[in-house]
Amino acid sequence: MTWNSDLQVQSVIGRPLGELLEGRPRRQALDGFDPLYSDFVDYIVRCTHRIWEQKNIGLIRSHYSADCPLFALSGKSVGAEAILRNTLQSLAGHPDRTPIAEDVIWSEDSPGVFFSSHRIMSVSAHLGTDALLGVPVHGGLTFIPVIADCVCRENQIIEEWLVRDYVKFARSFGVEPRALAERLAREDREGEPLRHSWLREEASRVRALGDIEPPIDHPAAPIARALRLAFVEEQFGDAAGVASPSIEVEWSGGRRLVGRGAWIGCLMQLATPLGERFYALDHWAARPRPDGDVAVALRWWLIGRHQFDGVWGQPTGRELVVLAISHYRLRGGRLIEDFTVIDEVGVLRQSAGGLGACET
Amino acid sequence: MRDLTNVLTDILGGGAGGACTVLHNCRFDGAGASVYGREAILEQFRKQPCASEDVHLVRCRRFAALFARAEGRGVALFADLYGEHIARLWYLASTPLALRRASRVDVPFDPTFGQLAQSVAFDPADHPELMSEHVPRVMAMADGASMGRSTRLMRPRSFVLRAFSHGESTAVLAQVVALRSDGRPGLVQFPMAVCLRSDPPAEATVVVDESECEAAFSSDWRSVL
Repeated sequence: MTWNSDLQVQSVIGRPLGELLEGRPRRQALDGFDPLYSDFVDYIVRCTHRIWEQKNIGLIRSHYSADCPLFALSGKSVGAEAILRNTLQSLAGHPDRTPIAEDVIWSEDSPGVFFSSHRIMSVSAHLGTDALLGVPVHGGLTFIPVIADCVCRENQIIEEWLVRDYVKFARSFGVEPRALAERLAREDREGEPLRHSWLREEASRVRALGDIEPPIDHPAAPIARALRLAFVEEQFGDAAGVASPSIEVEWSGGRRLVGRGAWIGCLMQLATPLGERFYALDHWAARPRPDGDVAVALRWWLIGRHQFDGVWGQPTGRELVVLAISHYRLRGGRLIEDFTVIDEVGVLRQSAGGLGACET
Repeated sequence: MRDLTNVLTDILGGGAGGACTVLHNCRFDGAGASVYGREAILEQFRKQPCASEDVHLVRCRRFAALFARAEGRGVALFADLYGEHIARLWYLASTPLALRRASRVDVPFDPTFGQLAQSVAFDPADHPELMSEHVPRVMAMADGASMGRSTRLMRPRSFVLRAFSHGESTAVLAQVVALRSDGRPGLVQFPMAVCLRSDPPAEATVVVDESECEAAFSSDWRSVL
């Protein structure tokens, strides 16, 4: 399929929840998917709603494969049962957790194999015991950006990469991200070190990706080229030519800025601490938006040695793996919005010697 | 379909209810804080209603801006529209909302982008609902309005986020970014709304989000996690 085919599969943008969740007949070929789902966007939005809001958590067994790997810098889970257990634990701490769908950018990467990049604003209150935070101390609602990249086949998610803004999460509850990361790193250093080998394996997979680029006529191509210009060639100014002069930038950790200079600032803030820096683009997708603009999703990685001062503090010499998922809005071929989610508690945790990070 | 002026004044006044067309995934930025979702947004205005008068609406197909006065001071509400549904809102006022300002990682960056940079970051191509004859007034106003507030600011720059026309009227939403000039480190940023009803823009209405500006000045600059 091309990025702008299947226009009957509508974006979630600009549509009320009632319309999104009303039943409708199948309008896209989805072999092996539950007849309940009318199209792939409906599958993503509706199953998320059923699991998290309607608390039908057992649906995870029919919506995740038994061996589904879920990668996140907070840890890797494998299989529907582990994902179900983590979901239960999350709801125990935040029972009203509401995943508000902001966009689903999708593609059919091979016949019957679908990809979705699902941007969520996760709204919740801390009411029960949380695995990271413990018992509730701070009240009120929190709004945490999340992006989940999923590969799906025959009604099941078979691979997932998840990024959650844990810096905002921690600070929303009065916890300093560095203190949280250091505590997690201390726990990581105890016990069997091989349990963290998944991160090095994933980093090896990423390093083997090489210089893959979207086809030149794909909307993601100029953005991918810009990220490469910035991270590989250090041509930040040329890279920013892809952006509108008044681009809105919303990055993790509450970074909300405007302008090309700000966009460069965010890229440089990530790039500067890393020596022997390696950048890789892992996946791309694009869909038309109902307003005539184009939505693009990129999953990309930075891997490098923490050799220089910067946003993550004094250099530790450890190898850091940074996973980012970005959602862009293009108008007339230029970026007017950039939403990027990174788990920097996961990065600080590696910097502090967690997740198997070593100094060699 | 309800008149959009009534919809927006109802939101401001805290009286918007079930018929309100704010979407469940609407993003809201206002008066120093951000919230997400229809329920949280409407709840905020119910807690802190803003009785508006002298309302003036500028609307086109995709955007709307309500300019009004509340307790003698200007307020503005900008909306992104999808049909009758509101997907994004900005509220600019001098009174802060009773919301906790989210902490953030500060990003060192160069808003001026070199010596050749203009004081306004604005490309009319990004604003298809702005009439071409209104482009010069947007440039002039965004420039003048930010420069006029330079007592506590150095090197202010305006970044035009929304600009659209309706008849003779033009609505502009811009973010001002500047170095603070009080000796403390950091950049400050705050939004500014402008309504231009004619050329020359003698009748311009300018609403600066004073509460966001104050919040920016009261924050420490923290660019290290």
